Amino acid sequence: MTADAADDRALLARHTAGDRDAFGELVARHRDRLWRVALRTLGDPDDAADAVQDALVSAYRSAATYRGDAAVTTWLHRITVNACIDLARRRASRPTTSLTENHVRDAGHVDGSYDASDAAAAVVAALRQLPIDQAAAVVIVDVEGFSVREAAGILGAPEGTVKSRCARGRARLAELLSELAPGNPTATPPVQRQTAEDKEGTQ
Amino acid sequence: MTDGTSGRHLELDVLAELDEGISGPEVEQAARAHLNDCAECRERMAHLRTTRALLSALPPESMPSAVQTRIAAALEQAAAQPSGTVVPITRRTRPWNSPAVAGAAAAAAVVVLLGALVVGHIHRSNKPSSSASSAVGAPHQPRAADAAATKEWATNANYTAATIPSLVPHLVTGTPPADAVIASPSGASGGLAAGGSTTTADSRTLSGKQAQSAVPAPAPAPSGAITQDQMRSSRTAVAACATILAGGVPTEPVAVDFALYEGKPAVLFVLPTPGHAGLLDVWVVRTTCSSSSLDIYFRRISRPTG
Repeated sequence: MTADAADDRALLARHTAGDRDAFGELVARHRDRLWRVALRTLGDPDDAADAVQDALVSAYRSAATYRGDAAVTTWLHRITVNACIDLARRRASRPTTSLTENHVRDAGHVDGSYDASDAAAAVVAALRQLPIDQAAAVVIVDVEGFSVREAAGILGAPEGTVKSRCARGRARLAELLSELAPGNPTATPPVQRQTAEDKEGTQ
Repeated sequence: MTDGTSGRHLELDVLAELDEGISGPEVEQAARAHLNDCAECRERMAHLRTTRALLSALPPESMPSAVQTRIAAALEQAAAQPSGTVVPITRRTRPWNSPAVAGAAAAAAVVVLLGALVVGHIHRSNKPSSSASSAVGAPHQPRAADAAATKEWATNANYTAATIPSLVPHLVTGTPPADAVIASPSGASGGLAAGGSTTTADSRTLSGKQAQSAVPAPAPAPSGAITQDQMRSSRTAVAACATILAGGVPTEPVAVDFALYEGKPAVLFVLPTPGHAGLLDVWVVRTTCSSSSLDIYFRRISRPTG
């Protein structure tokens, strides 16, 4: 166990023992990472704030149920990802295809090139178009750099499912981002792509 | 998973699964053979890997301070209230919660009500009542009433838990929201569309009623429930409710809005957060206002600047 992980556990233990400051310290250690996960998964700052708030209040109240079989950071990420998925399903209104495609397209230059910040904006916009399960998997593994095993713990899914969600999410992202480079061989006519995605989305 | 290798080129799904090592053995063999011979598919695979690289290169993000503040307030709230956001006020950590001071608080509320009765109204932002001047200096006028004028609205906006943090600041600053979610359906003279105007049809009616009657309509016993109708027709009732919400401490609301919450009539109170100049307490009274009501929504937000 790393020193950080031990500190996390000590803080959580202090919190469950009634130390009123301990949870705040724990939040301060993890809030930026949790915020980034929620922001990238949901794609909307207001939704991300709602999700992280729900998650941390939930963690605050359920700290006594933490069994220590996973790192505290994994536990916090799991609660946050669950809050994101719950919120996205409650909203049941991920941005429409046309809106997000425009965002992806607008992120690049007219000539099809794009620099680093354009690319980041395009990736963020494209992430919003993924089904929430795929977005969460891609964010946890590719953006946050968790191993597939850790991601399985965070996402509450078998490792094979995590890999599958990541693969499909990356394929979809690659397709969306290829819009920025007209000469890219991955670009396919929108009608064909939409049909293929519809099929994929029902799996 | 589809075969994906029967067509002219490999689908991105197939390439992504190959890259992740989850293709079946037959698909993998066929796909690798195809990749060896097809520069276009190799380029598609490279594009897929570039996508992964772009994901891992996304810049770090720090939680905005406003979100930090909001979450700290929510956690503070969670500490005070073990369950949910719809709670009896008595569970809040307030002086009111102490039996020892509850009686004194109740007495204070009576003083507020008597003071308001004599004064005839609570000070308002920009429309002093003619009847008020005769009563200025009433001995028991609550100190808090002098601190700041209440902005009164009748926006009829339909608030939800999700929209309160974004909409309520407009009640406080008096600026119309960019997305015009709050709008007074009754015309340009009332509501946020009028900018700084805080006078509403309701409040004008209210003044008239109070001028005619020496006794306010509500039965203002602190232990009794104050109805929305009473608050809509009597500023005394509004003051009494604000006092109850503030745990028995006479408190001038920063803003009050007669509106909707989740589609149902509600009165929204914005009160200063005791001891935190940067925060505001938002209370939504959905049925009646009393110290034991189970139907009052609470949320703490950051005080808007400007």
